[in-house]
Amino acid sequence: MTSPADPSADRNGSDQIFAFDTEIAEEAYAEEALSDTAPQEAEAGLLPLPQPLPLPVPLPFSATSGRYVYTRRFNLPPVPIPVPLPGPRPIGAEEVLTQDVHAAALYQREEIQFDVDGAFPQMMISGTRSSFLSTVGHWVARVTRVAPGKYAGPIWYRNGTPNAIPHTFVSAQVTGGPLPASRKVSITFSGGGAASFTRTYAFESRYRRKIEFEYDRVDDAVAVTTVNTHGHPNRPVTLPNETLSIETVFRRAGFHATVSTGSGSIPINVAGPDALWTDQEMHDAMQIHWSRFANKPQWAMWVLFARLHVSGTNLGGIMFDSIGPNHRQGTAIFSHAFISTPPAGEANPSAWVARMRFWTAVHEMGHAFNLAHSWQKSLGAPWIALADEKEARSFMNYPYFVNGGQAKFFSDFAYRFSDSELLFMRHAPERFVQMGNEAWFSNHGFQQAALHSNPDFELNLSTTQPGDRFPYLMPPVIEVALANRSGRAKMLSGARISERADFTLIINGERKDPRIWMPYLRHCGEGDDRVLKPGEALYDSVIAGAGRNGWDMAEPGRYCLQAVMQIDGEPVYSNQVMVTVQPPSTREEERLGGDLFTPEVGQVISVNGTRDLDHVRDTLAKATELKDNPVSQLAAVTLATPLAYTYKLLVTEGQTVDEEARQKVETYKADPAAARKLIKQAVARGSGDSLINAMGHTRFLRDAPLVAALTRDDVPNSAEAFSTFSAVEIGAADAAPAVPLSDGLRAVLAAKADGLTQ
Amino acid sequence: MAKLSLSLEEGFDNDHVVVTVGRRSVLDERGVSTRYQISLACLKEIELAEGEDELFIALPERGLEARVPLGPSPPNHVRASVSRDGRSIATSTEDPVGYA
Repeated sequence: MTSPADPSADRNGSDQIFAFDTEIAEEAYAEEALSDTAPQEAEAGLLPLPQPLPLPVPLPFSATSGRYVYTRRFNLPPVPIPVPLPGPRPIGAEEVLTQDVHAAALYQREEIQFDVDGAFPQMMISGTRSSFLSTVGHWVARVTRVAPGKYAGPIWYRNGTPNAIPHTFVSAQVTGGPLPASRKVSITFSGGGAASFTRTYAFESRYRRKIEFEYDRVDDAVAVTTVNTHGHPNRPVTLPNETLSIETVFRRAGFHATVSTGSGSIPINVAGPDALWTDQEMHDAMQIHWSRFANKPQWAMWVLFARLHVSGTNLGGIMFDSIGPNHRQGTAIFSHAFISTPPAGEANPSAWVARMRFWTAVHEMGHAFNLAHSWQKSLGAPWIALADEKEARSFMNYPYFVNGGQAKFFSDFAYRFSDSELLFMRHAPERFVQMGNEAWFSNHGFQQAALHSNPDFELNLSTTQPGDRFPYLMPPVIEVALANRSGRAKMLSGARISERADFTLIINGERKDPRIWMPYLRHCGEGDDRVLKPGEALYDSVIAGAGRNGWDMAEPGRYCLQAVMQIDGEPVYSNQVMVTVQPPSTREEERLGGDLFTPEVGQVISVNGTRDLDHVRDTLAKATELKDNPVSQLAAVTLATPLAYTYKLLVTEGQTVDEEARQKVETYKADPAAARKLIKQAVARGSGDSLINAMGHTRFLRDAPLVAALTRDDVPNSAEAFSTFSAVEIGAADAAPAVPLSDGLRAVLAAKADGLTQ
Repeated sequence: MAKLSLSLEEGFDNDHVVVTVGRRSVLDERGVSTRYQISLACLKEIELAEGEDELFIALPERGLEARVPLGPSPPNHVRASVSRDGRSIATSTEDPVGYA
C-alpha cells in the first residue's frame, strides 16, 4: 500500500502498528560514523601497515558483534609478516601472509559476521568471499574466547567453490575503540595445508542485513505488531518488562528491521464475497498492495493481517508464498482464528490473545526466513544436520505442543528464537535465508546449481546406522536411491549407480578438504535400460569410507556427504547426509586402525573378499573379534563369502623385468563349514539385520546367492555362482536360512531387489 | 447427524489418499502433500450417517492403512500422520488446537 496507516485510526484501539525503536537511531549513528574509505589499503601494500591496537581489556561500552567487511583493491605479491600466532593451536614456525595466496585472484570482497556478544551470542564467526560477480565461498567457525578480545576455533562448515576456503582454523582479534566505526577484526586463517594469512575487516553494521517489513491490515482484522511482555502474568520471572515490537525481535536475531512507509490497510472486498482468504487471493493481494513486490530475492517481506483463512478458525496464520519460483515473500496472520480464543478459565483473556497474536505474527515471519517448525528441524533438507527441538521455547514452536501445554510454554518463553535458528539466520549462506531466494523448506548446500536440479528425479542418500553414527573402523555405508518423481514412466540406464561415470559423491569432512569418493571398480557397459514407473526407484549401496583415494572417513569426526548424477543432461542433486565417525572405544580398536586402514583392506572389503592376501585376511580376522562394532560383521562376511564357492585365483610368478612373468590359475575348494561358522559368528555379534546393514543392502542382494549356497550341499564353483546370479529372481529370500532377517528388512530388501542396479 | 473433522497432518508426500466411512468413500485424492509451514496436508469435514462405525484411511500406493473406530459417540476430530519411517499411519482423536 502507498498510504501509511495511522495507528490511531485502528478501530480496535489497542493495536499499534508502528513503534519507534532507539536501536534504529543507534544503527544510523554507527553507519553514519563510517566513512566510505577502504581500510584495507594498507593490506594491499599501498600504505605502511598499521599495527593493531592491542586491547588490554574487552571493549567496555558495547558489543563487538556485527558485520565487518574487507574489499581488496589491488593485489600485490604477498609479503610474509612473521607475527606471533594467537590461539590455542600453534602452527609452528609457519609464516603468516597478508594475502590468501590460494585464492588471490578469485575474489574481491569479503565480509564476516562476528557473533560473540550482544543479544544471544552464538560464538560463531562466519564469512563470505565474493568475486565481482558472485559469491565463491562461505564458511562458519565455532569459536571460544581465548583472551580479552581474542577468539579462536575450527571452521566447521563450508559452502561454495571447492578450495575457496582451504583453511580449517581461525584466530580473531578485535581492535579499536568503543565507537563502532573505529572497530576492526583481524582474522588469521590457518590449517588445511594452506599458507596461513591474516586479514583485517572493518566494522560496517551491527546487523547481518537491513530488512524491511510492510504490514498491511484488512479492514475487518486486528494487527498486532507489539506486545507488552509483562501484559500476562504467566511469564519467566527474569523477563524484562518492555513493549516489544516485531522489528526488535528480528533486530535481536541479527537483522536491521524497519517498517515500510507503504504499510497500511486493505479493503475487505479484496478477499471476495465470502470475506475469507485463499492462498492465491493473498498472493494476488501481495502483488497489488505490497509497494516493494518484485518477485525476486530481496531482504523485504509483506505481512498481511487478515481476519480468517478459507480453512476456517483452525488456521492461525500461514506463510502462504510457496507459489511460483520465488518463495517466502509474503506471510499472513488471521486475527480471528483460534489464536483469538483463550483457553477456558483464562484469567487474563485479552492479554492472552494479544500475546498469541504477536507470537503468531513472528512465527509466520520466521517461516519467511526459511525457519521450520521446532519439531520438524530434521525434516526436508536442512542446511546442516539438525535435531528436532520439540521442547524449544522458540517462536517456531507451537506453544500447545510442549509438555505441560501452552501455559508451561509461556512460563519459560523469552520472546526469542532458539540457538539453532539464530545460527541459521545469522550464519547460513545468505540465499538460504533471504526472502524470495531458496525455495521454502529447502536449504540445499550445493551452491546455486542445486536450484536447477532435474525435477524428474530424486536422489536420496541415507544410512542404516542409528543417528548416522558409525563406530571407529566401520567404513560408512551409504544407501542410494534414485526415484522417478516425474509422474510418468521414465527410461533409465540400469547400470550400477555408484559405478557410473556420471555419479559423483562428495565427502566433506569438518576438518578436511572435500574429497570425491573414487570407487575401486567400474563395471564396463551401461547395463540394460530400465523403465521406472512413477514413484519407482533404483538402488545401490556404497562403502563410502573406502575407495581409491584411501580411507576418506577413517578419522573420527563429522562428514557431510552429498551426491550428484547427470540424467537426461541435467544434474540431480541428492540430500546431504551428515555422518559421524566415532572415536575408538577400546585400545583394541585403536591398535587395529593401523592395520585396517590400508588400501588392500579397503579393496578386499569393497569386492567382498579374497582367498589371497594373507595379511589382509589376518587383519579382517582380528576385526571379527571386536565387540559392539559392526565392522566385526562386515569383516566376517568378507572372509566368509569367498569360502562359499570354489574360488579361482590368478597367480603371477616372476615379476622382475629380467624374468618372464608366468601366470597360472590356482583353485581353492569351497569351505562351506568355515563360511557358515563365520556367518553364524557375525549374526551372533548383533543380528541378521545388523549384518545386512553393515554390508549394505544391495551388496547383500548381489551376494545373496553365495550366502544362500552355505545352506546347500551342492556348492557352486565361481563360474556357476556368478553366471546364475540374478538378484531379481533370487532376492534375499534364498539367503534367509543362512542370515535370519526381520520381516521389516525382508520387505525393504524385496523392494530394493526390484530396483537393483547391475 | 454427527460431524467429524479429519486432519491429515504430517508425512504426506504426493500421496494418493482414500478415506472411507463404513462403505462410503468420503475422500479419494491424489497428490496429497503436507504443507510444512502449517504441518497440515488436508482438512476434511465429514458428515456421519447412522451405523457408520469406522473410519478407514488408506495410502494404497504405500500399502499403508489405519482404522479408527467411531462407536456410538464418534469423536469430533480424527488426526492422521504418516510416521517418520513411512511405515505406518498414526491416528489420534484429540482435538487439534490449531495450525500456524
